[in-house]
Amino acid sequence: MDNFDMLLKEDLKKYYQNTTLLNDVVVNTLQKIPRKDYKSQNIKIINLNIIDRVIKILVSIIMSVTVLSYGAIKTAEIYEKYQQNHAKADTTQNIKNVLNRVNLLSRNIDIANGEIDNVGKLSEENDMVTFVNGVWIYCRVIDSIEKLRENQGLWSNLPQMTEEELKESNIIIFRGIINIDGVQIEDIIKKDNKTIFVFSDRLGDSTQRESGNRNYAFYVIVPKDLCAEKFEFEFIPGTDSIEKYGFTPMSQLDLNYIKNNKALDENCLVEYCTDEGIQYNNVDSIEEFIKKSENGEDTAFRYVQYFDADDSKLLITDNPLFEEKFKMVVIDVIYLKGKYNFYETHYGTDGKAVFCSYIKGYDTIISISQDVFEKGTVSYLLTRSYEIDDMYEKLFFAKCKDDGVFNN
Amino acid sequence: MAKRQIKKYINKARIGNDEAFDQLIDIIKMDIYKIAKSRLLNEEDTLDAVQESIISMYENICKLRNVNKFYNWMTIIVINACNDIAKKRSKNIEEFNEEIIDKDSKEKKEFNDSLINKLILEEALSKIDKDDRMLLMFYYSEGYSAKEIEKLTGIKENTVRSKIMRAKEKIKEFYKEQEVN
Repeated sequence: MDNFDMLLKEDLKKYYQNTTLLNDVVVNTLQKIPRKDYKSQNIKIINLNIIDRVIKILVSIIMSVTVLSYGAIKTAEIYEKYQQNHAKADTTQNIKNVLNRVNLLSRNIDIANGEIDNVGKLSEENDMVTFVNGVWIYCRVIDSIEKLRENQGLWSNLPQMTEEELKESNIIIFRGIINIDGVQIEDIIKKDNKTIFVFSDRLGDSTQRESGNRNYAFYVIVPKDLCAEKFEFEFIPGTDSIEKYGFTPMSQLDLNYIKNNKALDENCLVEYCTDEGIQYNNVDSIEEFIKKSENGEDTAFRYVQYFDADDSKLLITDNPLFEEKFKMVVIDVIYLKGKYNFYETHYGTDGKAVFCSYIKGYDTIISISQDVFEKGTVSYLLTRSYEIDDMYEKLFFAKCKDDGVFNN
Repeated sequence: MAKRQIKKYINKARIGNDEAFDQLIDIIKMDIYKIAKSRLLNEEDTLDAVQESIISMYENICKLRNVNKFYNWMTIIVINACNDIAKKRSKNIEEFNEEIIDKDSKEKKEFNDSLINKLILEEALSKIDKDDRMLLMFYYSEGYSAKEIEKLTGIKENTVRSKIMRAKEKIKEFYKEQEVN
């Protein structure tokens, strides 16, 4: 912290402490609140608490039994080999029994919570989703201007739209928080009159998930056409399993939505930079920029995929793209799933320059899926990256020559 | 106050224990106030927002499912209350700020040095977006780390850092301008 930081800290502390009326207001408010009759709700919540406690106690007992059983094996090992063999056999059976009971208990917990394996559903309030496998997802459908504003308070990156624009647009926004790191939204599918959001678990097993208990916020913009009245949320063990589960990969979904300028019409998916900073949602300006770019003027675009798993939209704001004087026009967008951590791919006007960005905290090496490479969707392979500023997201700039060599 | 104690109050309040709710509010009232003030700046509106937030929390605490998310839940309620107040008064926060600035410049001369400092800080804060002000408050006044702010607000750690950095630069610039003038 430098001097200015220290002073600012001190000033802000004083500023936010400086209130004389707060106590009176709080006391008055508490006195005036019409108090509720909680009788009916009490029973339900207390019961849930009791169930929670009973489950916790049972799990503790089972764990203790497991540990003690294991201890018994070790003790037997020290004293007598013969006895140890018998004890081991017996205890192994005990552990198996205990584990069976644990499994049974877990299933009961799921049933008690009203959850179905691997599927979470929106609650009646439309703002909460539960998952099994130790993962909770809180999600809110943003289909009204009020909800959009509420969420903009916490998520300033949501598109700025008026009530009319939201009503007329062909999008629905989902804002959510997953209480786990390493879970990634993979796909949106319309199936049997339901919209299914597919999340993959990139961490693997449930032990790792439990240890990495972190919030992971996301928002997703989805064309209304793709949304049925019912929403479901599915959780799949790994990205490789998508096809096994009969899901259509994201990349095969309605990419025409983007290409046939629907996205441009709706404005929600395009960002561009001007000298005044990042701008959103203005078709005219975007067209103007495309023209400028074609005329060789310095412009920078970012075409955000319609399915955005993170706040990568901030990248341009935080990088000196203009200083770098990149000349780019977006002509295509691809989506790469899984380990590649690719968020956008941009082509230069000559079709050879590529701009890619990813978010700090993910893998430091970027590579493009060989499949995509071979299909010709992407012309060049990127393998290097550098960090502009530790404070900000890492960015990757690359220009490709004919021989495939990159210059940063 | 130990976290366990706060959790105890939250749990009791969730099942309708009014006394626990009152005690909980007594503990967190300053947190509510600071979030509201960081967004509204104006003292009167801030106190209104505190009032609305407490009522809303009372109405909804029985729906809170995860006690560990209490602070996130509270932050959202306060932000909503602030937005409602700004909306009800049919003027946006920028207008408030203009008023504050006008009022400030008229009255500056009559106040002593420390008050002038406060007014200058308030004016500097009014130049910053309300979301960024809240982040500044969490970071500097409350001493939260960027990681903790991410947990609280859902805004990514790196984004929090860059927003705080930019807000700080704006304040710095504003102070420099003041010195020149």
